[in-house]
Amino acid sequence: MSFSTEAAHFRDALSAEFYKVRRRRMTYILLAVHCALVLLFYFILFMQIRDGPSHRRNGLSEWLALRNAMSTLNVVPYGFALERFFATLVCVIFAGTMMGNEYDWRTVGVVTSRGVRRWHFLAAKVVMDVAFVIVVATIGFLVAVACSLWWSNLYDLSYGTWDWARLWDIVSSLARTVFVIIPFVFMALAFATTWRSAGQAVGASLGAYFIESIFTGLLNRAQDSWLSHIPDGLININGDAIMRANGIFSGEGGGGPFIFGPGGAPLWRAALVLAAWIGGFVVLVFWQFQHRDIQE
Amino acid sequence: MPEYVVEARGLVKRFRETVAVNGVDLFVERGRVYGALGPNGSGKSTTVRMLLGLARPNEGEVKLFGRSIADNGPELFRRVGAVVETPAFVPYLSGRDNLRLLEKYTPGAGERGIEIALDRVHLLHAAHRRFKNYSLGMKQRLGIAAAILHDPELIVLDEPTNGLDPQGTREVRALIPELAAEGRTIVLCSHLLYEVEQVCDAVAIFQRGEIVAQGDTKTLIGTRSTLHLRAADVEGIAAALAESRWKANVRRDGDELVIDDAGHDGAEVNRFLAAEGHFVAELRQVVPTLEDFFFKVTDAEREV
Repeated sequence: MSFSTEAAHFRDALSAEFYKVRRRRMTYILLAVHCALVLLFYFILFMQIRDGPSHRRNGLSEWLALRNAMSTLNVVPYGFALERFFATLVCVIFAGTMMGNEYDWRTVGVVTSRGVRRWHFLAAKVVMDVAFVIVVATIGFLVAVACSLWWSNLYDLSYGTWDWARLWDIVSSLARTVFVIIPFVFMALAFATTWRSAGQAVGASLGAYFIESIFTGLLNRAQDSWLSHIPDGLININGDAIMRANGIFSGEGGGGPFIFGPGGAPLWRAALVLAAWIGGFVVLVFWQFQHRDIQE
Repeated sequence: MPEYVVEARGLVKRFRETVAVNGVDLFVERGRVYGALGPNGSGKSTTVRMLLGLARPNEGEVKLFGRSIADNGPELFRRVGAVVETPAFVPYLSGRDNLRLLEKYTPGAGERGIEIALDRVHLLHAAHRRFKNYSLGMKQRLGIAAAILHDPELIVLDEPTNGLDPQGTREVRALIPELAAEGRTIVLCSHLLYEVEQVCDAVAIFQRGEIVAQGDTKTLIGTRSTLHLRAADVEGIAAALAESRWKANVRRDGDELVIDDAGHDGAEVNRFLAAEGHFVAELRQVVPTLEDFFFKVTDAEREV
């Protein structure tokens, strides 16, 4: 088959996948939920700030740090840190159900028995997953920007300067955030293909996402043992290292939830580890989908 | 040399310890309506899944249109339309949108083709409704519409009348010969003997993962009918017939006497018995059916 025919068939698969995503109510529900979560988060912090500083030691500095973190000046590191958490939840559900439902509904067999190449079908899903992560992270970030503008206006905080350098900072931070989210998205895709089920894929991927942090905390306690090095190869700790490149909060009193302090794994190693996880999941999902029976 | 649209040789499919299909050879000539007949779990659906590339055989080879699907699968499957088991579609899309979706995957039919396919299965009135709200019969119709949408040369239908009301069943049974008359080859999987006999001109009978009989439907069934007699004096009639030219074909079946291959000799047998002083209470011709043949071969297999 010629390259142009192959490309045309892949374009058809992409067009069909986009049609499904566009017509699916779940897509819009997930986007709305994501925006609502970001709004809710800012609202909860607003309620917390409105109550004033606590009487604990460092209460005032913590209160000021949190208030400043949520200003437009700090929206890039703070907004994307929020995005990383909420967008991962939403995108894992999207990817797991996108593939798993094809098995649950048995539509995958209908498509492949009509002559659609398996890898075209799957690659179209991979492209849509990545596109969805970008869309979710962008929209969520815009919501965060809107909240931070309101916040800065309310407390007369700095908006920062809006120039090309800042735009570039936003674009590169978006790219880093998407890169950090994608391993879990592809994990959901791989689980959905392995177990031929949406529910199991979403459950296992979200479980891994949350349990990994607990697991990492426990292993880090084993300071001098080889066990303490295991987290270096896991996803979240390397994701944190990448997210630090979006900007860290070094002010006194910390920065409240989702703000990273200095330290952590070197950026190059973190990028390599995450790329390895992404590559591993992609290889697993394509190998399984190409070689196994569509239905048992 | 006949032109085979489907050629399957030595197909074996194992699921762990279970052998679902064991050495199936299947040959379907172009333009035929071919019935795959067998009870549930006999291996016919697994065989169909292997023909469509949904399951990979552990042994054996499948050729469609003379070319191996191992090398040219997707290219060959574009010439095939299929409904495997219950029709599967995206539940949140309407019937029409589901066909639009399939048309995006394999373009060609266009909006006009979609409307024609829907019309052909009498589903235009419900095309705007979501698939999840369809009755089983409507789902079956949509499955058939999807199977014929891209004008395939080979159509594989797995239990296409499952869930249809009598009217729908009749329409689908009428549609199959129509599709065949357009030059398409049809493979029809069914456990309904009457359905297969009615629409298929060739048949393969599956039993425990193997094909136990295969060939032209009429040839398999046979054209020779039997004559069944009931009378008060069965013994006397049997004795009289033992002296007649039918003596080699007479056998006892319960309280009836059966004369094989004598379906057309009713009047002559009656005249002979009356002349001998025997009078029958009932005399009827029984034409062989696929059902008779099916149970003959499957019972024989079971005894083996």
